[in-house]
Amino acid sequence: MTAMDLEVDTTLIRRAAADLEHAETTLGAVTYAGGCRRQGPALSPDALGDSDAGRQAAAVVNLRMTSSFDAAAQLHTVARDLGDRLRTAALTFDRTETAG
Amino acid sequence: MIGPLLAGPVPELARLVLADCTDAIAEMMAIRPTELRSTAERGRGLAGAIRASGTQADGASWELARGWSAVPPRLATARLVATCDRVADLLTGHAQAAEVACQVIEQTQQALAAETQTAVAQLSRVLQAAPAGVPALLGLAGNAGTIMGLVVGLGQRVRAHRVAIDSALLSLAGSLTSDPAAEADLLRAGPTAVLPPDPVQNPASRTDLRNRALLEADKHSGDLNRLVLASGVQQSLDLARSRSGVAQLLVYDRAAYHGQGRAAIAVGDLTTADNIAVVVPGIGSSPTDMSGGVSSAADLRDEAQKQAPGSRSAVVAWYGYDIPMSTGADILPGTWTSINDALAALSADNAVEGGAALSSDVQTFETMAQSSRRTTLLGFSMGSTTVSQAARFDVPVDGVVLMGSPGAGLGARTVEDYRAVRPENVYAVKYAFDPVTLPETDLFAKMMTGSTKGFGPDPADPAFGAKEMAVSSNEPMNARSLLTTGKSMLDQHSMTNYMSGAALAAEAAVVNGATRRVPVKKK
Repeated sequence: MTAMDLEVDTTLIRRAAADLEHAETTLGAVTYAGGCRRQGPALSPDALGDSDAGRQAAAVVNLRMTSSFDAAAQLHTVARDLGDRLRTAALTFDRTETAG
Repeated sequence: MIGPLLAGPVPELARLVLADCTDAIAEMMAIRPTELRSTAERGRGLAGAIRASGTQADGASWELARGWSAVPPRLATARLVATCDRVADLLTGHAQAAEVACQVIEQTQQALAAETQTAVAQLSRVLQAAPAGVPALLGLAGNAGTIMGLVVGLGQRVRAHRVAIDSALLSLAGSLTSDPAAEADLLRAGPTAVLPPDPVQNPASRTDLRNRALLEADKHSGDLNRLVLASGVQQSLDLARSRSGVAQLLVYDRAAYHGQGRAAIAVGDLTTADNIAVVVPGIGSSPTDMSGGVSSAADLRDEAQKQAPGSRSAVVAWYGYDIPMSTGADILPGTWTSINDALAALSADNAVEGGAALSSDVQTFETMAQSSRRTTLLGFSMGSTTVSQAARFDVPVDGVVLMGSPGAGLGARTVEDYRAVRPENVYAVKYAFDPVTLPETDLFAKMMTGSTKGFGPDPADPAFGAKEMAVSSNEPMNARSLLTTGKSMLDQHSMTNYMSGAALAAEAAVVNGATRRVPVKKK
């Protein structure tokens, strides 16, 4: 891939990477604490009562809470990696331009 | 709490009279909606952060639209933005559902507290109204009608409140069916991934963790069915782990099929595997004991990796359909369930239903896997009929192996009827003395059920169009062996016999895509 067959503005690509970095930071703040993954507050198994319905509902709430943090962590990684790729692409385009 | 409601100058007799209600009242008053509300608040905060990050990423889409004419970077960023929005919507919906449940619980608790206090006060008045010098029990007897009315009335209200709270809790659980991580996972794994999967955020291992949490809860359940299913699945998981180092519980549904349950265990890591295989067992098996399927899965994985050094395979033991004659292993089935379970062995009906379930599960497994992986389905006995039915769905796989099959089921007249797999990648394995593969078995089933359906065409019949593997039974079968070992023809029909020796080597070659190494009978 070269800049010749594409319309490329590396300044705008870097700005896009910076936007993704903001998204990464926002997601990182809710997903990680001191470098460790947050898990979210878990309901006690009997928080919604000791009946079958209560324990089942508490289990589902906890499951979904864990999933929510999993989702945020996935989105955080995607934002980070896409940003990295854009920065790498901008650098490659600049070098190609200079070499050309 | 019931304690404070009954505190104060309440005669001991009032406590005794209300004893039937107190446990139910105490249980409902012990529910802590504030804990649920706090969790919901956290979810709402997470939703806000995810939505904000989506807005920030949307800025990147706009910059890329002007700064880079290539489409993939814009598409990838747009998918991130859309996924952020949808996940945020979902979490907001979950938080709202939790808030609704909190309000119902709080209102119910307030009403319950007021009604209980009123009943206790009325009861105390009645009991204290007994004339001086009359023993308390005589006073009780003299006002039996009034007391009974109070107790019955309170009992009815307690039951109504129980129904209201249970409905709110069930409604809450029902509102949380969508998994917030599911769509985010699709950015990282499966055919539409914008980035490759990694071992840390591995969707298969997360699915495994969640299912294990359910399994752990069932291992401590007071319900015998749940307990036995969970213990059996745990033993099979331990076996899978001992064989491969990695075992993933990909499916765990304790409620399926009238208590039989559904489970699938991957031997090996599904997400990083180059080759995936799914093995489906036959009649008489049950998720309560998956050791046979797991052992065969581990054997197949070992053989596949031995044949292709450096490759990574994951083989799933799939006990995901309503398996006929499983009730011997399932716990406490009802009479009708047992009878239907036995009759199901005489037709392909369960395999037809199971084919749809298998196809759906394979689709899910593929979203957890690398886009470059190969997928092979292998079925033994009724499991082969189930695989055949799954192959009729348009969920592409690379190979199908039908072992010891009683028939391919209805709607699968030839390999051309399969939408999931190319005809040249369909294999059949059939041993000469396996009674289940004989036409007489099909005739017997039709005779017993009075139906013309039976099990469908024999996949090893040349007219069906599958390639028949040129492999021999691992169980010797001749007059001498019958006399000296006591083995019967039924010993020919076992999953172990069909997944060991030359057959296993040929099946592993199919899993690896090394089809030239598969010995095939000439037609």
